[in-house]
Amino acid sequence: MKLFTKPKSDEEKLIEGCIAGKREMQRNLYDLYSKKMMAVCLRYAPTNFEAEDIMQEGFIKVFANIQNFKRDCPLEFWVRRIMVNTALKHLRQKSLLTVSHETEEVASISSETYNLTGYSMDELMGMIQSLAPRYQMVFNLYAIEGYNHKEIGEMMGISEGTSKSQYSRARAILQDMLARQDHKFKEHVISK
Amino acid sequence: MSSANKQERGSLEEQFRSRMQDAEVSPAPDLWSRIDHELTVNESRVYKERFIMYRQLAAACFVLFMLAGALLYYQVGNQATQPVAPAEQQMATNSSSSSSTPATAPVKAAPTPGTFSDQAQTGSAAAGTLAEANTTDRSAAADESTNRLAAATIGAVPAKNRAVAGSAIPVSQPDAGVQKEDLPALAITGGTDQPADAQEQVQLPGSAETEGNRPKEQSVVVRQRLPEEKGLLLPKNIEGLGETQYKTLAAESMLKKDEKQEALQNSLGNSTKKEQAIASAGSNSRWSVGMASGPSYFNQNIGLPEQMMPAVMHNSFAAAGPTADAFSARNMESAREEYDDNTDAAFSYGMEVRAGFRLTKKLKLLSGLGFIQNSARTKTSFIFRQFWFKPTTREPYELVSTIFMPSLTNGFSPDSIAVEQTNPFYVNYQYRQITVPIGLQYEGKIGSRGWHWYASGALAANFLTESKITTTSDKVPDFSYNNNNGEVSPFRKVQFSSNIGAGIGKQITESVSVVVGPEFRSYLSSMLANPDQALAPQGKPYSIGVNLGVQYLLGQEKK
Repeated sequence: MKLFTKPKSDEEKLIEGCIAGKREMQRNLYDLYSKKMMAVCLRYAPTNFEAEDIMQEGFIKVFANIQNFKRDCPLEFWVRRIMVNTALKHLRQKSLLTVSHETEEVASISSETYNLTGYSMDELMGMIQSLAPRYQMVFNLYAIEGYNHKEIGEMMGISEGTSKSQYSRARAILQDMLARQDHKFKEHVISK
Repeated sequence: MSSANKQERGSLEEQFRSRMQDAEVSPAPDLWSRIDHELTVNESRVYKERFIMYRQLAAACFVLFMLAGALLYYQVGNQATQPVAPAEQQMATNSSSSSSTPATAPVKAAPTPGTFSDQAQTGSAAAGTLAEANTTDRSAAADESTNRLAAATIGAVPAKNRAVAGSAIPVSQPDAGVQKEDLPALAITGGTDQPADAQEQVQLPGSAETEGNRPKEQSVVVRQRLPEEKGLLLPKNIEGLGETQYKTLAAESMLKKDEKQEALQNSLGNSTKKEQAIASAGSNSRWSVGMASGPSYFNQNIGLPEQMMPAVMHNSFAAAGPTADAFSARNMESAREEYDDNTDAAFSYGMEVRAGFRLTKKLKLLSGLGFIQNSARTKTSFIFRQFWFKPTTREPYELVSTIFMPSLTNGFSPDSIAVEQTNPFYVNYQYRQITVPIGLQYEGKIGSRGWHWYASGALAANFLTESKITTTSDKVPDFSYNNNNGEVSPFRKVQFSSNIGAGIGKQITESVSVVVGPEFRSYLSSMLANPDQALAPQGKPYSIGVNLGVQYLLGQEKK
């Protein structure tokens, strides 16, 4: 019998409450992560509506499977991973990730430095959302989530080379967008 | 992440990552309510599935319990009958009189003067009694029976000699007066229990002869006994009797024996044994199992609205309804009339496995498991075409049916509806149910030949497993609702019914009986799960059928 038990953290209480099916605890978990997860879903979904659908489905999965959470990582990471997987499944179901005869051309990463502090969150999100879904997915997984191309290939059901190729193309498109934004900005400054 | 990949990451990736990794965007305010609603739906589905599972589990347990109980009682009944001694079984195969009590045999034997058959009864009874005591020594029993016979014939001697009737008389003894030896067999034959006056009446045919003849008469009686038991063979060697006397004696005894047997058979009848078996059948067994099945007439009592088209024709700003032309409206009215006039019962049937437990002599508790298929059909000549648009994609699609389907719920709102007349065809409605009845049955005898009557009342839970609406027309597709295809059935999943039956039965053997009689099943609720949403008042279905059943009595003592 333990005389002294370690006080449970808020996260632990939250998890146990969700496992017990307490709606109040589920609401607390939602409130805690909903904003971050909405940002995640927006990065993967073509539209805001679909992002909300993904997030709804993702949270349902979280509540249904939270008893399987092994506590080997922060809860936020686990929830985020579920959201990413849900988005991947959602896009796959809509056949938005299929690739047809794409040549595997991998451009070298330029050493050019970027400073995105001048861009708002909406602008950056808009750039990512404007990418084709498969580019969007690969860019998110590689650049932001930190997966490597082999892992991305396994997740998306494509080859590692295709993942690299798609990432290279996505990166090029974003660079072009940023260049055009810079050009507009410079023109705007000069005209003033 | 591999170092190679890390090297590939440039400033762009890092910038995006730093800006996006912890980005926050407020979701739509109603998103949580959507999640909350879905969680509630999922929970109720889980509860429902769990409830269904528990319900099925309970039903399975009940059936298993009933079967196990029936089997157990059947086994116990068999074991109870197995230890019966072979001698007893041998006795059962002897003449029917051998089952009479030993005490009564001599009483009957005594008043009959020199009747071989009675004495033979006495002998066999004694032999049987001894056989019970010692089943291994059959020959000894036969010898003993001979002694009993000798003792029984004491009744034939005059009263003065009968004073020693308490003692056995050895067969070989020439003089009754020297019979001093006690034999316990006399207690069995009851010779000493006979009242003196009764014994006084006993006379042997040869008793009118001299005293000196008496031992010989006894000897004759004894000597004739054994052949008689073996088949009424006349002895070849007759000592002390003239041929004429002997023949007279034998003829009289044969005649009297036949008369007595005939009288016995007439008085008791051939059915006596059966009646005794039937009477005893109910007394030594409480459990019974049986099967019942039979055809029935089924009225589904599903009402259709009288003014259906006006209800769906209205097209206002407040409630936009489907569009239909006047021709379709007339056809719809005709279709409704057809439904009312041409809906008949089709072949319905039910099968049940029942277990019964006798609470009292006449009252029995019945339960079991059964399958029912209720059917009805309508002859119609109208086809309904409803045109819908899918709510999400706005793709048009057509739903073809008869008047029956759209009438089950008011939830339909097609964009337009058309009713066309074709060649007559049949619409068949089939409802398959698993039924679990529990009830009481009261039984009473009719006459003495194994007939009985019964009246039963039961409450049954009927679980709808499948409902089908099929047509004989190629243009109208069949609809089927079962647990597998995921279609939401408009029919009630569980219906309770009260079952009332009566009839007559006949005992075929000691364990098996058959019953036949009408059975009325009245459902306590309507067929539709949501009668409030239907466009017309809904009645409660009922069925009238014939119950044909076989019943097997468990644990019946084997004769």
